[in-house]
Amino acid sequence: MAQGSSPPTLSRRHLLGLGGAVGAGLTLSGCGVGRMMRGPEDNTVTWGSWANPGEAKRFFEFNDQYTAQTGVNAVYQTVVGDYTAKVLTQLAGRAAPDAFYVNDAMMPTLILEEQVIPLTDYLASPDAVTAEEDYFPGLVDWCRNPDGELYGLPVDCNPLVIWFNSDIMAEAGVDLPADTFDNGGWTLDALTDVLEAVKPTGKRGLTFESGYGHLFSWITTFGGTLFEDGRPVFQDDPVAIETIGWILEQFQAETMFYGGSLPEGQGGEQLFQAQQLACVVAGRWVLPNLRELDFNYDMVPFPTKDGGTVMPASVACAAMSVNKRSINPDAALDFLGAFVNTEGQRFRLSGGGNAVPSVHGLEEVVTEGGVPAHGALFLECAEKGYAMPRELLRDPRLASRFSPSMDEVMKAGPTDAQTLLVQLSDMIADPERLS
Amino acid sequence: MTATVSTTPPPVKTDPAPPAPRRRKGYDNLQALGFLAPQLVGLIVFMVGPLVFAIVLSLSNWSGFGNRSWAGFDNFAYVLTDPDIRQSAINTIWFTVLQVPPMMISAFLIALMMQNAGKLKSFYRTFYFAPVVTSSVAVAAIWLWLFNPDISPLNSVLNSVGITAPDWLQDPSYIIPAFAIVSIWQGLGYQIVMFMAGLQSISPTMYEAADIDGASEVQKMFRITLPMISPTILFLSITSIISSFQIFDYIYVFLDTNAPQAGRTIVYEIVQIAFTEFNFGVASAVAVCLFVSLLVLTGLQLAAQRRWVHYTE
Repeated sequence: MAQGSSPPTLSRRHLLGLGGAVGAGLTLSGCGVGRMMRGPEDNTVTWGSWANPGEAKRFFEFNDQYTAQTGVNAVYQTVVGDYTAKVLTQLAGRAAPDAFYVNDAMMPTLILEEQVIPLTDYLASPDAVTAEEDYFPGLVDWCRNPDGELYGLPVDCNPLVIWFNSDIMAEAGVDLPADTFDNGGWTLDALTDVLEAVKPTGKRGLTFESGYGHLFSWITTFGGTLFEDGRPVFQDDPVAIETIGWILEQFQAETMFYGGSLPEGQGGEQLFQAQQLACVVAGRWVLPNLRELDFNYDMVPFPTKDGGTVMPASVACAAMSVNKRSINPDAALDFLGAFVNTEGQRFRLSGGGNAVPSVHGLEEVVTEGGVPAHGALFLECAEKGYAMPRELLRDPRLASRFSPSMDEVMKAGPTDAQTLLVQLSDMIADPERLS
Repeated sequence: MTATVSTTPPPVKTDPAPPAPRRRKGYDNLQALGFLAPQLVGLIVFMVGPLVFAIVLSLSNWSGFGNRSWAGFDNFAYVLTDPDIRQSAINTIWFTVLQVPPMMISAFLIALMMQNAGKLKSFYRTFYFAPVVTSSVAVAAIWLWLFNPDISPLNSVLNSVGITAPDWLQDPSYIIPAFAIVSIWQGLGYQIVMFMAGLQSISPTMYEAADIDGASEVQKMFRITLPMISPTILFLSITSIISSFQIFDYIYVFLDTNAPQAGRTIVYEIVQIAFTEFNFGVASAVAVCLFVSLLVLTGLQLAAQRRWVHYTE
């Protein structure tokens, strides 16, 4: 056969090359197919959050229940790892879920950049299954823009309280702080007595940690003022100076210790769980770990001047917002309402949860099983507490750098309370001073 | 038998006309592109694209949403003058100094000893390699406990031998050394395996010849072993320095988003600036500076290799 008439000898290679190119094209184009195929008539709501394995399981159960009750297909995306980075990337790529969790550091930027929709119209509509008034007032403010419009609702919360090891208290021969509170004597003097009694046991008394949560809680629990007209005033507040002065005295007396800026679950909490620390300031998030440990514990609010009331203290809080680019915003708003309202919180938080409701009327969640014994106080702490103040939310660097900057000041050894408070207030007033 | 001579001329073979060189070249190029396409597409989409985008971002103001605005070289000016970023860069270099040479030296010495481990060689190799295949997050979680000053067995041991144990993650002087300890612990196995492979590739005849010539052990080490594994040393030094400049995961698990300035490295700073402070322009400028630094450093290492790396034929 003459060569000139032979078929192309490289046809298989052509085929392979072409197949590879087509495969790559399909793979790449497939990256964006999921969202493009959804339309307004699509009866699906996607939503995302951070979650530990226990929470994620409960969220999937919530999904199933919501789908069964409403016929709307709720699709849940658990974000493992760095939540903020993941959600920001999704938002920038226009692939974020219809509704998603927002933390306090993200909220101002998402509002400013119009990435989430205002909830005003939804909350005013007759179809709304929740109302702004349902939520504890101090937990909502951080979800507003400067004009007061609301862009998110708190999914639940975690007020800072003092957890104590009852066994160490017995060893130290002091009354349990919760009993002292019940008797109206839980004052700074009472706490001082507890810490002094614990010292001879060889255990540590209490830690003070870096960050706005501890600092502000100690000031406001005694009636101190943090801000006026958007400016920090705690540096001149006599109550704040007296309280922080007391903390510095405890450092010198080695009844309190500076716990640094280690993240949640470490530092003081780790010591508390190891029974090396008599008291620790933390939220209800420590409860699942404490349930696994073999010692007695309970919680009590921060001490106060009158010794028997709950005063405002810091509350860790997250909210749910609706993506501005949601394909089906009405369905997303309905889902948000059902997720954060009283029934939604009851479903999500009951059965060994690690958070506290952000709405009235769910005492059974925090008193479940009688652990901790004074768990009912969580709700009062949440009701009177406050989320991150808006004065700290105005500049993202404050959320990022206040804690490590405060850490540097604390480790440098503050000379006196007022100098320390002035340094901290200067950082808040002028974030350029943050290290 | 009569030979018959054919007078008919044989048929002339008419070869097909060879393709024109230009056409043939284009055809070959197309074929090559077809084969390279899957890899090239991946490279462009996932490597070159983000790199170009990062360079564009470094010259822009961008919060991660909405429109970007032109910033010129303002972001670079900020990066080069900001004391926090400078401190993070110093921390990163300090980490590299503490991590890379000790890890390479100890890995080499262990690999050398394992040459004589006999039947236990596989056991030791598995033993040292186990941390390499363990997740960095899991490793950090274990070391978080080991670094706790009050409940750490590590500190108990130090205290029992009369050494005052530091507060590893809270004392500014010890944060970076703590990261280096964890990193060496986890990365040692990989380098041991690489050094073992390098040592095993040295021909025993060289040592036999050296023995005949009366060479001492030290002479054999410096005249045979080290020159012969110099390509391995070069490879490990380049990859170790690059990875040490990119340390992030340990810090993130140990200290979350609250790392004090003494514990911040340059990649941690990039993530914080971008995703907590929403300043992608400055974060990208830091990333570009890191990229250029590593490029220059690697270039210098490759340039210097001519003086000390020996390649066998």
